[in-house]
Amino acid sequence: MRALAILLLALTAAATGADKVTPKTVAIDGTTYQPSTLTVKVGDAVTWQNKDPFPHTVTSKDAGFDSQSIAAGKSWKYTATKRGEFSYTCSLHPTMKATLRVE
Amino acid sequence: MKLSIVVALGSLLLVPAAKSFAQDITDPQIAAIVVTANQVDVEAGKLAKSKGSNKEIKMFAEQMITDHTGVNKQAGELVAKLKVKPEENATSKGIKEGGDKNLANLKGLSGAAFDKAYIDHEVAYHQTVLDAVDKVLIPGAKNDELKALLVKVRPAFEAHLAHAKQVQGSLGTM
Repeated sequence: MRALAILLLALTAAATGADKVTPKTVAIDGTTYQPSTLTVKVGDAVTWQNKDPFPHTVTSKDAGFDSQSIAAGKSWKYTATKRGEFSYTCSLHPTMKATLRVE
Repeated sequence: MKLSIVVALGSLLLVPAAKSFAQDITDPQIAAIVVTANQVDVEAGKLAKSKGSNKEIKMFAEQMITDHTGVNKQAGELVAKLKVKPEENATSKGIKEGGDKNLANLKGLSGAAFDKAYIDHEVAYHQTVLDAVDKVLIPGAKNDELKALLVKVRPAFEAHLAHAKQVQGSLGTM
């Protein structure tokens, strides 16, 4: 019985741990990127979700990626391939600025 | 004449009237102002997309059509959900009249003169809309969801203003 209890506890802990994976998602909302700085690891896939009623882009000259237009309600995924701190902007709304940090 | 939208919106902001206007304005009136303000910029954008001579002007105009149409779609969905019926008022009528005058003025121009008149108006228009959003519409909105929508779209108007100024500056150097 005791062994079973320990096993159950261990399983529960593992399940809780699995739930704690940090989502690698940036919300585009109110013409801002949230969070404005996101840190990920090389190989991680990052998703930008456009929650505004008009298109935005995720464009980084530093990192060399450009989502092109992401329509309202749509998302775009990018897999981080190189380490560094990359600033990006929306080519349609130049006041929008954020950073992707890849470790 | 081309600045009449600005005058109509600007009349909202007369000090010290702005504060009491924000208190008196109703949600149906705000809804009509929002919808009309977006519509007139979509209409100006459609004209500039077809009549503009500069690539940046055409791209900017196309974005104004897309963004302001998107905002109006969301505003329309919200007012339908809230069962708010947009109510025409002096400000919304003034914006519409100003929009019509702007179109009439632009239709009489072509080439670089058209581009300049369009973008000059866009700069003034977005500045005035921002002021009205900050001083009257957001403080005046009674319904939380209507207020939240205004807060959410405000930074887009700010981005449009910055973008319009950038395009305006680039025309000046050509």
